Amino acid sequence: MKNNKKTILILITAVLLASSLVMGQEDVRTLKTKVVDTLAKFPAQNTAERDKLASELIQLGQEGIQEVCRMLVPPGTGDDTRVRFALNALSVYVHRAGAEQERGIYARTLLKALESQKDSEVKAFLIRQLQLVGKNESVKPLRIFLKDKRLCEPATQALLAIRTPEAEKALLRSFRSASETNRITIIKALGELRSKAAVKKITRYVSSRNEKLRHVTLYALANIGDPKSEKILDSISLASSSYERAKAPSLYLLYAQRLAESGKKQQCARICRNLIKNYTSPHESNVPCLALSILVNAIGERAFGDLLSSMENPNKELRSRAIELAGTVQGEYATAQWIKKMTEVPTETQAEIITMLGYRNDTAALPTLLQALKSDEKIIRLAAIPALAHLGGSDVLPELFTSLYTDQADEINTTKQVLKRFPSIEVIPGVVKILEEMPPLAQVALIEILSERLAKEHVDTVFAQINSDHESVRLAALAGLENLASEKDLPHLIKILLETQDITKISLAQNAVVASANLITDPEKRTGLILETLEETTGAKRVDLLRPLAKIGGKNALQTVIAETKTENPIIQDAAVSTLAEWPDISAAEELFNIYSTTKKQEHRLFAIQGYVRLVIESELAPEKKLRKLKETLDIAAETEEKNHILKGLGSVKTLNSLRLVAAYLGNQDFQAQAAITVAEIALPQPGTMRGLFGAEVISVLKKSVGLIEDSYEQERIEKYISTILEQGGFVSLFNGKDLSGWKGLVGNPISRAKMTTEELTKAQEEADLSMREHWKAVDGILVFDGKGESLCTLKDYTDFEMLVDWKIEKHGDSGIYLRGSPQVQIWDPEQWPEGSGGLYNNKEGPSKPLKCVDNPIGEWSTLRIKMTGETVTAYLNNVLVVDNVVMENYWERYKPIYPVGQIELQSHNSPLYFRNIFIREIIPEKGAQGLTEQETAEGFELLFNGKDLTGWTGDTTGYVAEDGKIVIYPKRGSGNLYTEKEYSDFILRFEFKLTPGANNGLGIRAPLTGDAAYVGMELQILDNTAHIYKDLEPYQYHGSIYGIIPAKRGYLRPVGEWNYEEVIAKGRRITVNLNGVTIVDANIDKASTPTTLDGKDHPGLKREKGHIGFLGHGSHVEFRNIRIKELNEIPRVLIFIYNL
Amino acid sequence: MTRKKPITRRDFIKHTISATAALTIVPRYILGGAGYTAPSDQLTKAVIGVGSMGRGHLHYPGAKLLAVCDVDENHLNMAQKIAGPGVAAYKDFREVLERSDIDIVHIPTPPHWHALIAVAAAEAGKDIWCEKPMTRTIGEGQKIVEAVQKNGRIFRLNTWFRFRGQFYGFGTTVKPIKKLVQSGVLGWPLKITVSGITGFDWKFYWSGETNIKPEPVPKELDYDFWLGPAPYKPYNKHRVHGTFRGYWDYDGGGLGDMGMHYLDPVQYILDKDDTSPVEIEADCPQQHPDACGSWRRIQLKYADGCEIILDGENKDKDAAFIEGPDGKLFKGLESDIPNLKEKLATLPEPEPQVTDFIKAVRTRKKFALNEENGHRSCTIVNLSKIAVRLGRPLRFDPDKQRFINDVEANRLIAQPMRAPWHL
Repeated sequence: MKNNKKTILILITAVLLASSLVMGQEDVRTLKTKVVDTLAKFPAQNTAERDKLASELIQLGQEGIQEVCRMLVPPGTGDDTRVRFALNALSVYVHRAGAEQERGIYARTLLKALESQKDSEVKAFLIRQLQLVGKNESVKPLRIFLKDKRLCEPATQALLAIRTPEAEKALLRSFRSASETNRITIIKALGELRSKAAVKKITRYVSSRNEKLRHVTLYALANIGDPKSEKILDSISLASSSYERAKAPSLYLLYAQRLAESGKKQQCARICRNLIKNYTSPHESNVPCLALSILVNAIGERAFGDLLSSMENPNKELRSRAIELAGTVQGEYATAQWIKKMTEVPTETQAEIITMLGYRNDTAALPTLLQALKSDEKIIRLAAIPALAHLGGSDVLPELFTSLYTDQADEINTTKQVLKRFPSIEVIPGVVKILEEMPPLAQVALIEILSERLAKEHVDTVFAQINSDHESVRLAALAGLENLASEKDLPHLIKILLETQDITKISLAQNAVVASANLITDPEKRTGLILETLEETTGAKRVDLLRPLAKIGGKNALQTVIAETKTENPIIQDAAVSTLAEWPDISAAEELFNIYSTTKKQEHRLFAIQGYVRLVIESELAPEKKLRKLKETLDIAAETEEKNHILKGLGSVKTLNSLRLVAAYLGNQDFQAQAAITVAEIALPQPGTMRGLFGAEVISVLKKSVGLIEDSYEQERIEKYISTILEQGGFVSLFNGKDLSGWKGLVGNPISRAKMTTEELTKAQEEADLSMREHWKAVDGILVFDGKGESLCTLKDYTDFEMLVDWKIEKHGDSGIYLRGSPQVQIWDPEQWPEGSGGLYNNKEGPSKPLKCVDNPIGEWSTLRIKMTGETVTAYLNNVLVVDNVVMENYWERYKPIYPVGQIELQSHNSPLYFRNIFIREIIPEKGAQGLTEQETAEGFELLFNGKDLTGWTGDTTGYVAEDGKIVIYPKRGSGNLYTEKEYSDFILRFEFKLTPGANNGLGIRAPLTGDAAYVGMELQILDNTAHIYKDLEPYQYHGSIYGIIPAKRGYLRPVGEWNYEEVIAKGRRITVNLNGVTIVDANIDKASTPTTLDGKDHPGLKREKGHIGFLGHGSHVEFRNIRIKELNEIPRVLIFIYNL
Repeated sequence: MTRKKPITRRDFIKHTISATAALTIVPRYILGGAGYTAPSDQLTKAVIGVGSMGRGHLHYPGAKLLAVCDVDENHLNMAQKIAGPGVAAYKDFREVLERSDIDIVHIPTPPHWHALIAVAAAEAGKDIWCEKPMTRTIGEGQKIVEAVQKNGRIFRLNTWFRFRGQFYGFGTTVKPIKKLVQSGVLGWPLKITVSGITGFDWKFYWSGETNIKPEPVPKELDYDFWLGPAPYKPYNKHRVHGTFRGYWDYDGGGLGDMGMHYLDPVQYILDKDDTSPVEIEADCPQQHPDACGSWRRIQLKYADGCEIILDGENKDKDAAFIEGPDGKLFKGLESDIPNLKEKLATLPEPEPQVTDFIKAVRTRKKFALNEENGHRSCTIVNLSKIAVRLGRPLRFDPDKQRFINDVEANRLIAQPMRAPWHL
């Protein structure tokens, strides 16, 4: 009776909770509960959500936020991740516009929390939040921390961020009593704040013995820029540290800059000019640059004289700096001065000024630049060409053309580059006009311009140059034709090809022939003329005509080339085979395969296989077809090189079968290097386009290949992908690679442990843990055992599970994996025990030996995959089945079946051991809990299926049957829909389901009792995604998707035959689907159907606000259980409930 | 400025050594003169930060390695072994900068050190080769620009896609894209989408770990020095070598790693080298105060309406890399504009860039990707980081380089450094 009352109370609380949001009733949760409830929702998935959560916390007032702060823990002593997320959310939220009051509340709460928190790192975290949100209210409380060794730094940073006069005062006041280390921090900050008031107080520290203190003081004085500091800054170079001497001019100039900023420009100028004069050493050339920059910055145009005179300075860096600064003084007068300056300086400097004038955008400099174009000095001319082009634009094109009239390659090249910066319409007519009269080198450049610009209308000009007197011009013209020739030039080009003997020119002519032929619209006519010519041609010239065919293609051409591969002339035959190997489309594949499988010439085989592999992988064939073709060649390949080439090609066939084919080569020395690379290429996801391959087999193959790949980046990529596969398959890591968290030492055995009292066990466990830490260690991501202590046990107990573990032993090594605290899946040295590892060694009745010995050699890693469900164990060693569904016997109590639950142990047998990559996936047992958990009852869930019969359900009650606590649909009996009698609008639905291979069903929601629920209601897919038949579905058709509307994330279904857990939340327009703990759909159906749905179909059902829930049969065997529901926001029900109390 | 110094015996020896060095080792070009380059005219360099990235830098051609520097003894030992005899090893970079015989300083440290070392190097008269991302904050970038320019130094930011090599998954170089955009064929303003669909993948595996436990500092590492200007937080292996990218204190996750590679060419293509976006908005899960996380989408808008979309989810399957009112440009230079190839050929070439760092150093010409445009490109990364961390729309003034009406965002522009470090 008492208990009942309690339940009712919980229920009331839960109901009130649920209703308060909609009804505005008082929230009766305790403050702590409210805080915890909100914290549980962090981190938020988006800004709106984050701000909503932050505002919930703000509404809890100072006390609530104080409660949040109290939950911070020192790093390493617990997990306060959500708390830190929450506080950071607040720090951001209270800074939005118009929230000053909230900011104040929050800041003051942080300050209060600072008083009560003890740990320095926690305090540092709180101060870092104040660095974001604090204002004047925080200044005084922060002052206290300026005395603290650890917290002076963060407090100072916060004060620096606050940056008010009060913050400055706080620093000034704390300064005297501060320790020397803290003083350094504070002086640096005062310097950054440019605190005039600090000058007097800090000056004495320029002569401190503490080098750091001296440095920051000098910096601070320089940055504050008070004239009182000048003498000190002027004489830093007298200081003893060489670092200080090196830094001296920079600090002195920083001071000068500050002087200028405060209006003391003449003093600044004096310092700068002095430094320019005094620093002449090449090691210090940056100092005059810096001084000149600050000078120009300070006095602007009045520094023009300094800029000009810098051009006489031998220091090239200073000259470059002056040139860069020239832009600060604009106008024609300045231009004239620069031009005048040119007469007074060396040639190199003149060139520098010319370049500057070109980019200074004053056209008054044009005459000077035009003149420079004709200078006797090449360095001047080279500078003038681009400068003139930049300043004069297309107006100076004629002058630029004249600078081509030379035999100087660099000038011609510079001019050519400049000409290319004009659009064709401006530059091409000029090019054509002057081509004839130019010297040969310039002609080459001009032809290249015509070609690059695809100036086809001038093809005749270029044709004419084929007969030039100069070889270089002839070559340029021939090369240019590739870009310029049209289809009507083909006969001419073929003629040139036939007449040419020089090998370079032949290749150029061939390129032109190909380009021109490919312009013919009808593909079959492209090779017509070439083939006709071929018929009339004899001897070696036939080779020259054959080659271009590979870049054109076509049926007739292919027949001709194939015929030529059978000719008797070996030279022509070679050319024909290699032409065929370069063929542009799959049509040549068959013949290449013929050649490959019949020819005796090794060279031809290699050509043929390279061509064949390329054509197959580039083709549009389905992956299975590509694979079949490549496998066929692999079977007949004889040479290592050939096989490796095929293996390489298989990398682009990304299927499981392809992976299997390649994996077979991982064990062979000749092929393993290539096979390993290919395996990774097949299995790993391609950026942006494709998901990788999944499954235990893939993991095993990838693990093998990791060891064979040399590139450490690639190794890491593969390892990372293996963990991705495991995590997506529901595996969690049992070993973090860093420490032994999640593990404990061994105490006795299940029987002796059961006899101990809790106290005894705790004590024994503490001792065992101590001993464990001595002998088991995490070293570089590997779990290492020194061979001297006891076994290592998981903290958790397991019922049904699948686990993966890599292990390694030394010679005579012996170990094993205990399942549910019982021995064991055996691990040992096969040299001593030839049956090998992996067997259930302690079985007396059933098999105790592995099916095969498949251990890797001692000293190498082996991988065990163990699956235990009920009493049976299945194990794979190195991906080979070694224990096939064998009942594991109870070693401790022989007459009993194996314990239903227990820890996993890594057995110590007095030899050193190594483990890594330990992953486990818990399997939901076949007979799960039927009914509601206490929490669910409290939250208001109800059973939708009573576990016995179909009460409350309607529709196809023959196809669906209730048996063993499940609803099962047998397709032989029917394949209709089973609906709830009741209608539901907003709800949380939880259920478990088990698929059979290729199974298809659906969850209908908000559906009417008739019509196709996918359209007249909504259908959430229930589907075996892995079935081959479904491989080409649309994304919105896979499991969990709202059919036709919203695609679900894939990869989170448990293997077929295991139970899956699903939760569907329908709240207004938002639908969320959780599958096995992962959110696979979270979407707004309005947004997803605007303007149209993904499948483009009409879904009137989306508009329905309520309807029946049901399972939609599609002719497959599927099982459901544990179906429960909680309705959301159903006000009347709540009222009735309260009323009834 | 007073230039007398009391000369101690130690200084005297030092002085004599460097004076001798000036005669034999210091490059002739520094002394000026008409284009003189002797065969012995060898540039020299030091590499500061010799973790895995830094060790890859030891043998870049063009300059002779004289010194390596790291706060991790293991790194230093490994680097010295690779570098061979005659290369000095330092723990404190300031000692490297004091050496007058070193011309170029490479900075492949984690990003929280870039600004400090680059500014100090500029003030010591060194030319600089800095790894991406250029800086951790916008404020640090401004300081680099100022120090490098005022001291007349040559600065190279080391990501090269704006001027050479294939532009990641795009399938061509940047040059034809630049030509096309510059000519106005696509119209204006433009929208650029950086996503896996358009050829660029964001590396979200650079995430930090939350709730990390303090661990003992390995004896080979000077952790306090490694942290340098960054806030003190207890040591954990994941904070440092190899995985530092996952923490806001040192970098910015996948954005920090790939952002500059992807976005620097975008700034160049859009001709925005002297400005920055004015509106920034991010769609992302809430970020942890310490550890960088992932994001879904970041939108950056320029004053003229041009827009950059960083699509972290590859959501927009039909996205063009560039979309303008008159045409689109997809991966591999595919376009909806007819005869694009022919059109491209008639267009003028972009202004030339100095793409040889050694040549830039010798001729004192600005390198193609320098302190100024590098800072602007890095500003996109840093703006995005702030938008992700604050999760609210931001408005930015590209001239003042401050956020408009957002005190908190402005506090993230230039975060205070831990003493005694300062810029």
